[in-house]
Amino acid sequence: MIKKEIIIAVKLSFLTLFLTGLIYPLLVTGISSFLFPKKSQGSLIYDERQKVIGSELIGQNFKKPSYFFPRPSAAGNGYDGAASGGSNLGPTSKVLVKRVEERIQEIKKDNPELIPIDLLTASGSGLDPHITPRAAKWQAMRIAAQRGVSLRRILTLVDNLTEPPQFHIWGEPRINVLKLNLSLDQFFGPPAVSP
Amino acid sequence: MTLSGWIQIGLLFTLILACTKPLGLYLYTIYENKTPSKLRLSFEKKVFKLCGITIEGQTWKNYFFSLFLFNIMGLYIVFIIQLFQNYLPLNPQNLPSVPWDLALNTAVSFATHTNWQAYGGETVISYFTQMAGLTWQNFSAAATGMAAFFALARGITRHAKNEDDITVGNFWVDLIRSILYVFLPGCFILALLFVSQGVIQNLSATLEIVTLEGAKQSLAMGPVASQEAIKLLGTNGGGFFNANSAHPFENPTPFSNFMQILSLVLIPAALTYTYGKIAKKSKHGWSLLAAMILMSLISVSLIYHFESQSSPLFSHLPVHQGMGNMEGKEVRFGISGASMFSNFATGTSGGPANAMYDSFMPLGGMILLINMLLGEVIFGGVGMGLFGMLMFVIISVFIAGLMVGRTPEYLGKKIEGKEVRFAILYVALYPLIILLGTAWSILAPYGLSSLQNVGPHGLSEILYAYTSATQNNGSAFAGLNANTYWYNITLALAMFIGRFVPIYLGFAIAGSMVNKKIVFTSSGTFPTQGFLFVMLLVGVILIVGALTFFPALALGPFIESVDLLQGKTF
Repeated sequence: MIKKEIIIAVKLSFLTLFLTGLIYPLLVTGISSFLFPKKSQGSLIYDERQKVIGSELIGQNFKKPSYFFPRPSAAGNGYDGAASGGSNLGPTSKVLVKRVEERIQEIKKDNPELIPIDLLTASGSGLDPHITPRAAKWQAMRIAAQRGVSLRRILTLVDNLTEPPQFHIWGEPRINVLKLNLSLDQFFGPPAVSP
Repeated sequence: MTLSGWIQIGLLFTLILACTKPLGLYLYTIYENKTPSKLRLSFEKKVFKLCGITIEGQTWKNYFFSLFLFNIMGLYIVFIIQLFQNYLPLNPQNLPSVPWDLALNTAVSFATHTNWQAYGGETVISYFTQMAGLTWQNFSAAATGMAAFFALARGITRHAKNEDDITVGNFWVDLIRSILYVFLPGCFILALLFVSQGVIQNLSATLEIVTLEGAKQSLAMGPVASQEAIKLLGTNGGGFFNANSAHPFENPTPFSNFMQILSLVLIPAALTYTYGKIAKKSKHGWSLLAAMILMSLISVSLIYHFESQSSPLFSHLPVHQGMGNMEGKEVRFGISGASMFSNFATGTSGGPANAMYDSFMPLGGMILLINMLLGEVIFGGVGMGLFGMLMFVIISVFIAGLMVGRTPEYLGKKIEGKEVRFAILYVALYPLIILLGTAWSILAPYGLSSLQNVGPHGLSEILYAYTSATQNNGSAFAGLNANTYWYNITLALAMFIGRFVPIYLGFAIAGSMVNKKIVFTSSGTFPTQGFLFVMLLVGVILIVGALTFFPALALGPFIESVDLLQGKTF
């Protein structure tokens, strides 16, 4: 009896491996590349020369003051799309408090408003493409000054790019930082090359 | 906390309730229908013939033997695939062979339905290993859980016409049916739904790009959606990427997030209805669901409350903390999306994560721990959740019997010393392994050296690791570096014992109850439905869990919470 059971186990292992480990994922790959050619490949954004400049879904590490800053990132050296992860710092961690204080030093400058918490905390994936509308508006003054345009135009752009909760039910209002910065360049031209 | 957050939570529970009966009925017809359609019958027969399976009932011991054999075989194959992945196809990043201790841990982890991940997906595991190794084991382990539940349910509820008939079904048949009729079709639909939201599904190599600002960025690719679907529907929880469901390629939108949570709970919830149907007492099934929903509602509300708090450590800084604790959380899900997800990730034995649990508030993280410590019965894993719940039902009925001084009965069968002994062993086994592993690790330098966070939070990190492994959950306080010889091997052991010994004990009860004489219910029989039963059951679960682990929780999360209020850091 034992021998018979072992034979079944071997046969069934290979049958299920073939079915669920190869046929199923390959079939899904084939069908989804047909039905959702853009999304299955990572919702990539191309520039006018058809070069990939990013993914709608993956945040980028903007450092120039003329661009909107994303959230801090714990993925690799920041927004490394091949090493996702959070800081995993506990709520009583000294390192966490120090990191938040340093980040405030880095981005506060002479902005009198309170800094929204999402601009100071690292996301779970380290690749969060979004910030809250509050965090975008907090940065609007700096962007307006850097780009020499009126604050009102920047705020309008922020409002236009704010996504409401999905189907008005799920999730939070949010702004995609890469898309926001792309429209900055589109409307106001690329930032001046720093000397 | 926002109104919109509560509406999302309310909607989730409403949908769970709405899906329970139709899905439960479907599952009943798959496993228990004696006259399946001709089409299905002829198709099944071919598969059975191909594998040499004869459809005959197995005793609980033979059933267990087949189950164990199949899982060991899977464990072995996945171990080998990882060691040789550098020689196998679909490895565009040319990832090297996985070190043996990590490969062993991962193989055990996926074979035991735990999906504890000591590795980071995108940097260690090739596409072939992800698909043929891990996705396959996700299906097998989930199907094994379903089979185990049905064997137990048959043993408990069978009204044997022939007393010599002590069979509880056939493992191979249950396994094949789970894969063919439940998980494969469900996952196929779910995977496409996920891709429609932006989950990737391709076999391309990592993309090297230049960002808008001119910096270099690598984007990891892979067949993600197909694994994502079974990860959730099978309550497995092992992510494709290191960041699991927080990664925008695994969980891109708030709607995909909601669907992921729902697919985690669907089958464990529906099985309560299926069980009521098998036992021919649908009210009993609904009562079990009520107990689960009650506990789940309490814990999700508590998590949402704690995570919406602002940190006292930032109160002297120029910070607007209105959102709550955003460290380790994604903006698109918000606090409510992370609270719901984490609650169901730990209540079911899935253990995926759309936020970093290590960065949760002390008491928020404690609720996640408690969800697991209670025995993975707040919905629990597919099959195994209700399996564990039935152990608590037996203990509850026994306690009710003690209170009135009568021999306890359950579904018309007497519960005697033997069954109670096995049920008690079942619930006592978990704390033994969890507390032993934790205690050893905090006393040894090789245990402590893995800690990222120190102070009371360090204890929580280690306690969380052994709880997650033993309860086959798989989520983590991921600051702990678990990829060391000590943790890889002891956690693998904890997962292995925490999976197969409880199944064995449950089966022993099934075997002992399968041909018991039916006693007729009288006014002295404790009703296993209604308000009183639900309260007794919840009470028993909470008391067993709370009393056993109260000291450990007091030393970890409680102290940490007090420290945080006093502004103390470590």
